[in-house]
Amino acid sequence: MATMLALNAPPGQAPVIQPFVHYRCLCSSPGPSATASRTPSTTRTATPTRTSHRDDKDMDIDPTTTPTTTTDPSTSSPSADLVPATAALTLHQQHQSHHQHEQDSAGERSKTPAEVYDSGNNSDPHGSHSLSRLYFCDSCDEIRCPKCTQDEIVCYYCPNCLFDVPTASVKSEKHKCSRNCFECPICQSTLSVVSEDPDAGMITAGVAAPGQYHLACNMCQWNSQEIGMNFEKPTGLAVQIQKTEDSLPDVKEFDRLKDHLEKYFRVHSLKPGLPSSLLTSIQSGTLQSLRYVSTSNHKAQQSDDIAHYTPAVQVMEDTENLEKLMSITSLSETTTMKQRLRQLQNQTYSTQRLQPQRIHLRIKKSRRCRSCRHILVKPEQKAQATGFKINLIALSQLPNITIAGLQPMIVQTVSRVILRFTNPRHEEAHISLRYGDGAIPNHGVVIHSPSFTVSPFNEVWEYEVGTMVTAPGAVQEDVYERTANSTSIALDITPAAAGEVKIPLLVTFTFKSHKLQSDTDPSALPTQLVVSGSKDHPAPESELIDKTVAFWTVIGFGEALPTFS
Amino acid sequence: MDLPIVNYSKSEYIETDTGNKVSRKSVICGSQNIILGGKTILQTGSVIRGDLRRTGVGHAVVVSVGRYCFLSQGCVIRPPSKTYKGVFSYYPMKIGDHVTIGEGTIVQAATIGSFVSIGKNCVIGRFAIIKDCCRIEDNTVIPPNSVVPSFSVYKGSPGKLVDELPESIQDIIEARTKDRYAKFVPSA
Repeated sequence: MATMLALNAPPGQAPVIQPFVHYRCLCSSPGPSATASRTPSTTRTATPTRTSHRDDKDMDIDPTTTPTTTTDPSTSSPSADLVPATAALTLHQQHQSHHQHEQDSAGERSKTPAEVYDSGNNSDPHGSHSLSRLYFCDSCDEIRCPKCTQDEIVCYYCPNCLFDVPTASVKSEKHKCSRNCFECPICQSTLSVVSEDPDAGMITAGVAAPGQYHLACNMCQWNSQEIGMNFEKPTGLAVQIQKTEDSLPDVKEFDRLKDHLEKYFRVHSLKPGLPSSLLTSIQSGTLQSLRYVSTSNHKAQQSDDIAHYTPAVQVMEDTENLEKLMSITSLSETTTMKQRLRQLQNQTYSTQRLQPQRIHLRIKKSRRCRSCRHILVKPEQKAQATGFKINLIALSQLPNITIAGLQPMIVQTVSRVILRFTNPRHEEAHISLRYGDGAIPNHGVVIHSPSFTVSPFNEVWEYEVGTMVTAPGAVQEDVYERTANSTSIALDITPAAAGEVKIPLLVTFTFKSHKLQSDTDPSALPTQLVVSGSKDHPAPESELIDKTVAFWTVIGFGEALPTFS
Repeated sequence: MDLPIVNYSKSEYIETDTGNKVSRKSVICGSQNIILGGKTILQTGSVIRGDLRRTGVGHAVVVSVGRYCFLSQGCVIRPPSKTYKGVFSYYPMKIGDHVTIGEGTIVQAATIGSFVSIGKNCVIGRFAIIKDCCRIEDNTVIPPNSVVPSFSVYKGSPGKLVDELPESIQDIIEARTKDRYAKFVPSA
């Protein structure tokens, strides 16, 4: 399948141009910033008053996330117009804020196919995505990509021991595991606690002979005895290591500065705990960078009365270190940049002073639609569970387009391409296609059956591999092939020029959907978690309505070869 | 693109009642200690060391492999071993469902979850634990005793977290492994 292929292929490395099917999310094409036709949702977060944090890379204040519906003019989708500006302030946002949202440009409807085409190439991460990376918000009826969803932290856990860490204690433990999980200061792999066997001199894992315990790396054979680190008992090592961490002058200074600034943050009507958690997450190490933050950045934002801060620790100029560095003959005696950045508290140059580090926590995230604030993805609370309570992935709601047959592309020669549309829904769907002509270069595209139906998904078919099913009653003469819940159609492509052949295709997808009883009831939504049985016996008050979703796809067919002549 | 149909010679592969397809050219040691869940494919030259079992105990399951797994050419599955309290012993290994193990990869993990794909020429160290829904890229070394949490992509030597997998990965992997099994057919 094309979506899977995209997962496998390393981006930008494949020497051969691979065929692909990408779906476009509208957030990459800014919508018209005209008057809002929809009232703002009441569940929206408060608009942050400070906007000067734009340059802070850990924050993403995106005042104009205005994706619009790709509604074909003929369709009557209720959300035809734009969604008003949603200000979303999220911490731990991994994406950089995309300023293209702020640009005022034409909407998707007035977009020329050339624009759609241009931003939909393989290397453009903002334009189009494979279906596997997309979500489908079924209250907006729009595709959502990771950029136009908002992440929220569900829980913190240690990636090594996989224990949940309560949110309350995350801050005091500095986002690191407080159990027995450490990473090697040299190669960053996990360390194990070992004890020395007094008899054989052999190292055995686990609680074996009495005696001293130390940490050892299984990868690079680093040993905490090298730096004179031994432990009396094999448990509670994190407490001991955290003690030495906390006694470092830079850490002390940081805490002091944090305490100093925190009261000003509190005054400035931000959510309690927010500034400090932000600072903790950054964990800026050096005094230099902290001084920079305290003097330039914060003063610029809050031009009012911050009392003068006097550092508690005065760091002398380290001439001793400088001389040592000058006399170094081999680079292996010094730490690498990566190693230094892994221990921000004391970025030592000497490998002898590297300390084992407690392992950083990871988070589980839930996702919300930025426009309507509905939850799109909600994982189970426990760290070890992989299930989802809500998972509105596009894969389970939109037709999955795969390239089922492909002839080599030759310029000015007709090649037959088979596209298969698979319906993941439990209701029959109708699909109509339109080629976005006007793209440059304008390849000749003939869609043999631009309008067709796809049978509903049914679990029973999973067990009848290869059975051909033709839906009775619905006579479709010119589709290429019709199997269980998929319909294949033929396209004739005549490449206009050599190079990669990719075409924009507007897909209009009409499906029967249960009318939502209430917008806030996620159980009424046809998620993949809803068992099929409930579809067979729908609640009597729910009626089926036709829903239409239109979206652009970009389909690549590999490279076209020049004409043989 | 669709996965291509792979034809194999009917004389090379043995198909079991549960739909496992095992190459006659694979090396299966201690087959009484190995469980294959069904619809699992063992390709030419793959090695499963079921004979490396815990010392002193009677009959025991050494390697258990789930459904829809795919053991590529030349991969080696051997149970992890360690010396504990002065006694050297092997420990059982469990591999979940819908797991792909690439060509030439050596696995000595304690546990591999479901929906895991491991690339070519990897080394999965002793007692490593790979949770559900993970991807290990080609040529990656997972050090012994390490843990790969769910939805992560690991790469490099030593293997490090490089990416996260989307929430849809379970559906994708499941569809792919089922599709691959369906398209692994004897040549006519």
